[in-house]
Amino acid sequence: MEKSEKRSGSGNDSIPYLSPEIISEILCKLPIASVLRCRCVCKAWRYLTKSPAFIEQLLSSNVDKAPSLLLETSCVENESTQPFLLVDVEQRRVRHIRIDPLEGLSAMSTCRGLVCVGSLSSLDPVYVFNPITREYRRLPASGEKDIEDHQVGLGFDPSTGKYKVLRTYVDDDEGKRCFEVTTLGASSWRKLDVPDHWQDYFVYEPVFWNKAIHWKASTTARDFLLSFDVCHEKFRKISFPKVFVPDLTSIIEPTELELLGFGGRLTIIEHEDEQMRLWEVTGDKLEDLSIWFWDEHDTHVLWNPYMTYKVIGRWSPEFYLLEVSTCHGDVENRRKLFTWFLPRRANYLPLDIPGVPSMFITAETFSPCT
Amino acid sequence: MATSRKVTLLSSDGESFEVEQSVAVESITIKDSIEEGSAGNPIPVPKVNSKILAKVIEYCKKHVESAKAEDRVDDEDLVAWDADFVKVDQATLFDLIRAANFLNIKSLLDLTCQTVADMIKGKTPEEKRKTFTIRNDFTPEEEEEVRRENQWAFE
Repeated sequence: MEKSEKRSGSGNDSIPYLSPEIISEILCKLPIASVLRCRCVCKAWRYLTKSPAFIEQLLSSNVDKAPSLLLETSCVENESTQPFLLVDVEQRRVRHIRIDPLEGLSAMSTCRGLVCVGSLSSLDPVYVFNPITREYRRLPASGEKDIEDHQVGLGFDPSTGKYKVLRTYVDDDEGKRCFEVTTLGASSWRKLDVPDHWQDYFVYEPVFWNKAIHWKASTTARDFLLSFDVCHEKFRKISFPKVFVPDLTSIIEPTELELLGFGGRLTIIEHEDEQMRLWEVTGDKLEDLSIWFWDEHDTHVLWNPYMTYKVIGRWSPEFYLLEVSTCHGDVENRRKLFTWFLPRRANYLPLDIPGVPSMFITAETFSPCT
Repeated sequence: MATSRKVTLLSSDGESFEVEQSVAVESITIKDSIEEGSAGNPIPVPKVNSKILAKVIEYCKKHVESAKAEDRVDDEDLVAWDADFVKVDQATLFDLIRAANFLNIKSLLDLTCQTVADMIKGKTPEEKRKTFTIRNDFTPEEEEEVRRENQWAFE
């Protein structure tokens, strides 16, 4: 309840006073660059926009905002190319993010405005950083080991307010896949006990959604969702619905089945020839998670090994953002571009943003926060 | 199916508005006071004058009507209607925000706050100060420091 009906401002009595609570409601709807500029307005606004309560509000409202894209560029192409690019799709501009200790590392997962980077072939170093504030933190070292297929997933446990990191890798010496977890701030990783047969799993990029880190996983026989509850540190395997499983003798390529955490939802996208099929993961607790068929679109394109696509985001049922990868001649000559796909009108609109290189390693949607 | 019950709302400047209860309870504040049995008759709405209350009622009426019609086309129409609804002068907009906040009408609060956010999005700190009639209480050194801290946003 407001205490008084103060009219503020000298010379402009007709503008009503807005309480800090209301100012928060307004500011949290701004894109991140605007929020930062608000810090320079006055001391009250600077204090307000730094408060943990406001930051939580900002994170919640990020779901309704157009996200940015985080691009990892191929350093091989151009020596002076910055390793990470933050692309503002709405403003059509690109910002370069260079933080020296992170050079050469790959972006592995994002969570609440933070990015986790590491190396596919080495356990160290692993960092968590914020591209906006440029703050970064190194995770505990694990020592030298011959490993492969290192994937690191970043998650958040709302019950403790702490970030946890789940990693998996194949230990070449022991010949098996290991899973480890650590809490941000702790001094070491903890090994997780998993059933023996998990050693044969292939695991692909993690996505954090609804208090759990999700991986698309597969054996030679089938694909499934492997979910890790961040708070209780428990795993659960979720099978894809029977309709999903094609001919068992074929292995589904990772590009044909994507996991997309976007707009507050976890979506699985199945590519089958021209069809784009969307499945949604629903459920609140880990035990209740299940996968349901959601929608299907005809992309009207015969995708093939020389031209593939990846869904980067779904802005609305009308607009999908795709990353299309084309191969001219040989694999060395891959080019990538962004395009909007409008399923209702069966239309494509190229998205041209100045400064985006024609070749980059990965792109994912990213909701920046401070 | 309940017959349309009507309630009377009394603005801060003494004007009465008779509305369907289904419209009035778009405001959680009013809904709660009706359910608790503490609402008088007419229901007083302090802090909200007749001009603003009339607009708030107009908004709630439109949204209750739209919820009943299930035609998908209406969604786009509603968005357009909302956009028109907020084409008001700044003082009225701020008054609507305060009313939506006090009456706890989330969709109206979101709409009006988003409108103001869109208004100030590209503005410089000085322009933002003008919009909210805020005094710059940084010393030149402090202002320089804050700018440097948030350099990224000015590039």
